[in-house]
Amino acid sequence: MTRRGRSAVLDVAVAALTLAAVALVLEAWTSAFRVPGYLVPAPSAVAARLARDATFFAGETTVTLFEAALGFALGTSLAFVAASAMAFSRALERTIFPLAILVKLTPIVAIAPLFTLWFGFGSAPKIAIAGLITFFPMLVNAFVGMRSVDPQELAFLEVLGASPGEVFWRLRAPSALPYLFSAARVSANLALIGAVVAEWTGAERGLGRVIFVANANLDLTALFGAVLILAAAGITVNALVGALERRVLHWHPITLTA
Amino acid sequence: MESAVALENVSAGYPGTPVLEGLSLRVAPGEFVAVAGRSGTGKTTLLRVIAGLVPPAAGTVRVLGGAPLAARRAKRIGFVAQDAALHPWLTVLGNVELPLRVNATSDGDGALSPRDQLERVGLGAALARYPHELSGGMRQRVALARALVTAPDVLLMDEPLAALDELTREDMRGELLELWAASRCAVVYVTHDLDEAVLLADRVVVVGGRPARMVGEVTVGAGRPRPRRVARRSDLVDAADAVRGLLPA
Repeated sequence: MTRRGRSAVLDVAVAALTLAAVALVLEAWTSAFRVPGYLVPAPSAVAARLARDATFFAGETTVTLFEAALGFALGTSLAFVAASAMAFSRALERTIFPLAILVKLTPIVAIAPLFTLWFGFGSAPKIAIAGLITFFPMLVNAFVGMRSVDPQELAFLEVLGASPGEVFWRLRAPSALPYLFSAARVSANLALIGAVVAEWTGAERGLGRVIFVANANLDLTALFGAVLILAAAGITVNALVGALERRVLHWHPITLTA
Repeated sequence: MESAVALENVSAGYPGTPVLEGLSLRVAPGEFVAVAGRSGTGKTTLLRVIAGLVPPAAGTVRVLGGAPLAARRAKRIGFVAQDAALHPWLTVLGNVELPLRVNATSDGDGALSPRDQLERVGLGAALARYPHELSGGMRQRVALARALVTAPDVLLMDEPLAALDELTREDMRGELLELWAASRCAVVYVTHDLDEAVLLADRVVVVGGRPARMVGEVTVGAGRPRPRRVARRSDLVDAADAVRGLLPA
């Protein structure tokens, strides 16, 4: 295994150990003080529930992950296109940026029910919310990356008669990559949260729906189970982004020391 | 014979900040001209004006008998900056191939093989390495190979050795002169190091003041090859003193 692969595995292993330690403390606490299951369920009870309904949880998780991934891809693509337009023209920068801030400032909880009203109870509104929440951090970072190119590298390309398109693909886009990866570390988890919150406001399936129903029924083992799965998904996504970053940005000094 | 670079009475700058005023400069084909002056006297702007990246507010700029833009489009101008300005995501070979890939409609008129070019600067064994794996001197050698791969007729250099340590700088001066002799291009070499200007150039143009004007020039009569240091030869010491005497306080 490569050094990079080992370090990704190490990340996940340390996270799992930390979670296990927290579970151990909770288990001891709930059994020592006889905490009722409708207030805080014992981790062993949560684990038993997850094992018993494994197929159910796996199915709901797949739905949420699918929505989050698609939303993330959509939000990132749109952000990249918008950032490119802004990098090409100051006029477009002035037009797009206020709109982006408007999107950013709109509370997701406020528009999630609206999206459900517009797009129905299926996956579409969840993908839209996940995309929306991903969009702004990706946009800002991609734009900053595209603008903060080394002026001497820029001059070199211009002296060679490079077209604006060549300057974009050969210099601006690769210069933006480190910024995009920093943003992706934040946005990938945000997309997951976005999908769950959107499911909360009305859905047929997904972990958000599971949490919502469990909450209404005081079914705390299901609720904590779903939250636990979300945490595990978040950690895995983070590790994946990190591993991809180390592979793609092997030339980048910050990656080298990370 | 037509000048490689011809500036007539050029003034240039940025809105509200004149940087160059009434500057005239002619560089013959194959000539090595150093532009010496204190830091911050618009030497970099002068190079940008020659390359056509900064339009002059007054005066005319001609490169190889035409507009700078035409020379740029034909890839007849090479450029080396103070830091190597390599693309960190490309290998050494990828960086040197870049000038041939960019603006590919122009063949760069007698372009050289990137491998040969890297061989020539002593980096034939480092083709697959990335810039962050190289020393400062090696990176600058790559930048030189990259600038010369299109076989330019005019080479613009902006303090290319300033970021290197003294010994590497001495080595690289010699290598630079060998590359120049082989390529026979005209060079405009900007530097604040007066000894370096005298060691390298046929002629040293001194600029000073704000906005910068041309305050004089010194023709370096010393033949080639040149020694590693000015102190080795009295004619170079005299030339360096003459340049120093021209610099305004």
